[in-house]
Amino acid sequence: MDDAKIIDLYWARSQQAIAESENKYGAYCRAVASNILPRREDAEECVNDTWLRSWNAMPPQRPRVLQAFFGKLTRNLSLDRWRHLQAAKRGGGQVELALDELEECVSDPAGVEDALDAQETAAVISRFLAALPDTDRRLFVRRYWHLEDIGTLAGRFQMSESQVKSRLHRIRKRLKTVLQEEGVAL
Amino acid sequence: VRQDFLLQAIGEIDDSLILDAEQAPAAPVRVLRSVPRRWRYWGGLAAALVVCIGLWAGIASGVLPGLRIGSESSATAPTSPSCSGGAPAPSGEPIPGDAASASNGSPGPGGGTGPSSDESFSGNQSGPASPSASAPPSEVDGAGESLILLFGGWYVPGNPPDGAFKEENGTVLGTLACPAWGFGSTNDAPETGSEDGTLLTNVPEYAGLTVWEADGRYFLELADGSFLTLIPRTD
Repeated sequence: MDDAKIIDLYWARSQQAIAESENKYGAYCRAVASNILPRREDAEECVNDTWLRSWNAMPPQRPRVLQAFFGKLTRNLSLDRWRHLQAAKRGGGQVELALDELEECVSDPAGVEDALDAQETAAVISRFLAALPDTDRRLFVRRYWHLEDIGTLAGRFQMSESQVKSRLHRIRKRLKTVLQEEGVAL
Repeated sequence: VRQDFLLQAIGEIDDSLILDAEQAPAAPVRVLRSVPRRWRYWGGLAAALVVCIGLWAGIASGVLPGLRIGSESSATAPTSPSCSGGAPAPSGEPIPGDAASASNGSPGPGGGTGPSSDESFSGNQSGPASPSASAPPSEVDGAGESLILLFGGWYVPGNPPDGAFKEENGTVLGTLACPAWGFGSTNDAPETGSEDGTLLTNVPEYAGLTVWEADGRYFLELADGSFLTLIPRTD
């Protein structure tokens, strides 16, 4: 089923939308989540949450690229869960866990600003990446968007791990220069 | 926090860039990905050690006869021996001079060159045996343990010699030092040959019996004076 029809199903509030999403993009989302979360159960839960978020987001949203939409949702959910798990791991971390939980209840005064900054920064990064050679661009996105490990990247791009690391290092240095030139404060 | 912000910003890059990254070559399947590299290294070493010990034990115990490292005179012997036997000579057909020569170990008549029956196969005692189809009978006789690499093949019905061969051109090659290892290629329980071509293997009682060669054919002289036809391996 093509993406437009799946989106239509969401808009029509048909539960078939979730089944079709799972059929078409379940494996992709699972791969994105698995790169971030080592436990299969956690990754699976994030994928399920992706469908729920999508259900809540459509309507009103109508994503241009459904795969990227699902991918971003899964990535964000997985990163949130990863942070939560890291907080739990740190010394029994009840305080951190509590703060993590209360974070949902309080409004973040810098939230809107940050969101804007993130969007602007993302735009700068997008322009920077678009100007890179194909291999460098894909390497960067695979590493920092998909969060693939160095070994997998080395196998995927037929390079040694040290080559991957040095190439990523050079890209990061160039990105830092570009961000500074664009006035993005980090 | 700043790194986290950057990670979040990267998460919001243009959709086309995310799709473009899907064009990257597929990642190879990594076996044992979750196993730490150090463990893989030591695990590999341990596995190699186990294989080596297994091979050594297999060879030493004879489970792997094909890899058995023979001792003397094994160079020309077939590496995968199998034996065949034939039915004893028809009892109704006397073999002239046979009983005497077999029982007292005297040389076979005719050729006059047969060794005594308790000699083992270290060579042809009466000159070249002139085998027709394959290597001459040979024996690997280690210390206290004999491995016969002798004849293989299958029983040929109705093919015991008529007895005259001993008179004319029979030659005693030696005795079958069969043994512990077996008359065939395996170390199974003794089986008996049968007329339907069953492989004769590991028949300890054939050890010490005399082997004759005549006209390029080989015969095992049984205790009762009858003969088994031994067909050299041709494979």
